[in-house]
Amino acid sequence: MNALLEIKDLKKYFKTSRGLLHAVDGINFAIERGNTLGVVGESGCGKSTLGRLIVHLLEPTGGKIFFEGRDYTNLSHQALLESRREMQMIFQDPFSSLNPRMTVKDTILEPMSIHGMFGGDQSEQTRHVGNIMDAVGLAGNLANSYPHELDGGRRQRIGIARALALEPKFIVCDEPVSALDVSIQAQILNLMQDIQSERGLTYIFITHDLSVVKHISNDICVMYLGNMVEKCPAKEIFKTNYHPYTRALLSAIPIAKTGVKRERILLKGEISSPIEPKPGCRFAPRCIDAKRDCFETQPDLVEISPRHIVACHLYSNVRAIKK
Amino acid sequence: MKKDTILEIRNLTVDYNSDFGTVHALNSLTLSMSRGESLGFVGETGAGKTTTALEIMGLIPYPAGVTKSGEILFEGQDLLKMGKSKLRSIRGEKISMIFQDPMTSLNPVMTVGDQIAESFRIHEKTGRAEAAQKAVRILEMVGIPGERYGEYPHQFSGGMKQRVVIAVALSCNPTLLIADEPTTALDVTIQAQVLDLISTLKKERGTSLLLITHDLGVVAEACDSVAIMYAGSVVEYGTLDDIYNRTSHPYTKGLFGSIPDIESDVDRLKPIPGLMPDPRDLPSGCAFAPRCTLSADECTLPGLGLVEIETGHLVKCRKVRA
Ligand SMILES: Nc1ncnc2c1ncn2[C@@H]1O[C@H](COP(=O)(O)OP(=O)(O)OP(=O)(O)O)[C@@H](O)[C@H]1O
Ligand SMILES: Nc1ncnc2c1ncn2[C@@H]1O[C@H](COP(=O)(O)OP(=O)(O)OP(=O)(O)O)[C@@H](O)[C@H]1O
Ligand SMILES: [Mg+2]
Ligand SMILES: [Mg+2]
Repeated sequence: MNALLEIKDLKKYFKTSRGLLHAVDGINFAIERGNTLGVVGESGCGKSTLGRLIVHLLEPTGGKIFFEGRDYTNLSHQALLESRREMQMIFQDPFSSLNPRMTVKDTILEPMSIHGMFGGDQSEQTRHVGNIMDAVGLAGNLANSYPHELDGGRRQRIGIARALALEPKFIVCDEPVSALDVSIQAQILNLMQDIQSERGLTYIFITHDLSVVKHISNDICVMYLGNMVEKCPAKEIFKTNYHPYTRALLSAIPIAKTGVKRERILLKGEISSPIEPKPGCRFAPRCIDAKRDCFETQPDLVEISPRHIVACHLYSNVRAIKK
Repeated sequence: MKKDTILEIRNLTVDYNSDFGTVHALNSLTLSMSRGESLGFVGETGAGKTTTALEIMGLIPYPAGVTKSGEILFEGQDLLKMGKSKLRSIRGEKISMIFQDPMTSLNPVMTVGDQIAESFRIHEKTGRAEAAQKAVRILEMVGIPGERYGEYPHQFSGGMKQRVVIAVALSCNPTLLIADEPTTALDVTIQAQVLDLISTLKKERGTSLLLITHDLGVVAEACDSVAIMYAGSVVEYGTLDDIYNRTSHPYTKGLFGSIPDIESDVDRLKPIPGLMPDPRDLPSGCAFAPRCTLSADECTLPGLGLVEIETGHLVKCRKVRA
């Protein structure tokens, strides 16, 4: 397999006054070059933390990150700087991730000058800024505007343009289109797909919009409180899904039509805390199918069909049946 | 004026002055809401939705924002003509707003629980202990374990911060709740929970809701009527049924055509062709004409207004007739 990125048992625990908060708790996956892995899950389940770990904005508590086959977990300062060129992140929040005192042009230019792109040739760099602004649909006459003069959507385009500036191989996209209207969202998604196929880019795409994630991804990973609970080919998820959390999530998608009343699976019960989590499945307290086992041991991932894996005791006999 | 109108905006025109020109953010915007209604406010990125909300709140940034003309009648009184202290008391007691960016309304050095409790103390005059209890309860109602009461905003994820802001806004018990993209940062199960919570409160207290969102699915679930914005004015307005089943304005049609479909697989999405107009240099006549497949010579003429094509269904387009 030609994996560009592989993570093994990746963990991030934050210290809090009441103990360790398990934000990301042992996640494994690999992404092939040129593919997109969609990541979905409950707000606060650790998606952004996972993305930040991978692009080295956070130090992992445990586990390993391999990029192009090399161990990328503990980088020297120099190697870290190099890795910035290859891995970029587009942030969830366009408001706080942009420097309010920098114009659009300077924002996109800055990473290029830091990394001395085009051999430091400033006129080449400026031309490149123009091309990128064009590519993300920012009118050229906005080059000298400041972020606060622009609406949320245009600000998010600046973030995308900035990430593309260094021509990275891999981008973690943390809700890059959620601030945009659906037409511009469609434009940006098409754009991201075009750049991906032109340059062989690899994406992790974090979003709450399940129709977007299905559209853009090859595989989808569903997370719940720091764990991966299901992973499968994107096209499969709406037809065949196994984990009770995945099912609840899918049942809650609001449909843009009138008069559709669907059976929504309501999640009841106490929400587990990620701080010093109890043993067993993290979803058990809210799961309608939970058995005693579920409160005692954490389920392993089992492969139910090719590329479709689930961590749930309801399916723990599946592997045995298949063997 | 409609019977029991709670909010009526008439010909509101707002500019932002910047070093690089004047942005025409709102161009003679007209909109009304009845008491207890949920109005979905949808539209182009940069169309002026947040500006409209800030105008109602009296929070347009000074000195960049300039209200050129118009009226905002809240319970019959023009907010734009009201004195500062009266306005402040209306904003505090009757209108509350959930901001698009949660950090604009959260205090970074105060625990999330205390921020909610404080709001209960101010608005419901509850004592310290009771306010804290209520804060824990409302935190759990928005899906955050009560034991996280004592944490600070930076320890929360984006969606968790957003839920704290929602909890604060709901604790104010407003007559009109303006929610600017309240659930965009939330997953769909928690979104459903938050929308249920808002709708329960609406039923109990008759709160009116102005819901700004890009999500046409959320509008379908949570709203009674819809206003579609483009380049600073409303281009289509009607009931859910009007907008979803008798979609009339070419821009609205384009929006519905852009949504990725869950049920089918397509390689490419179909955005509306062309670019958004530069808000500093809007075309005369219909602002959507340069991108519109129906556009004809007449579309560049000035004086275009909303026309009622069927009862209560208004469209701003010369090519769409009753
Ligand atoms: N700096 C921090 N200190 C302490 N806890 C943190 C910190 N950053 C994140 N957390 C906690 O880690 C968990 C995961 O947060 P994260 O931001 O990764 O969630 P998320 O899945 O991206 O959520 P959302 O969908 O709301 O953006 C949350 O419980 C959050 O409170
Ligand atoms: N402080 C400001 N100075 C200059 N221009 C501004 C300012 N605030 C907003 N604008 C401009 O006013 C127009 C309307 O912005 P507004 O934020 O109201 O749009 P919106 O409909 O809320 O967009 P979004 O869907 O992206 O949130 C935009 O063109 C924006 O760039
Ligand atoms: Mg996040
Ligand atoms: Mg806005």
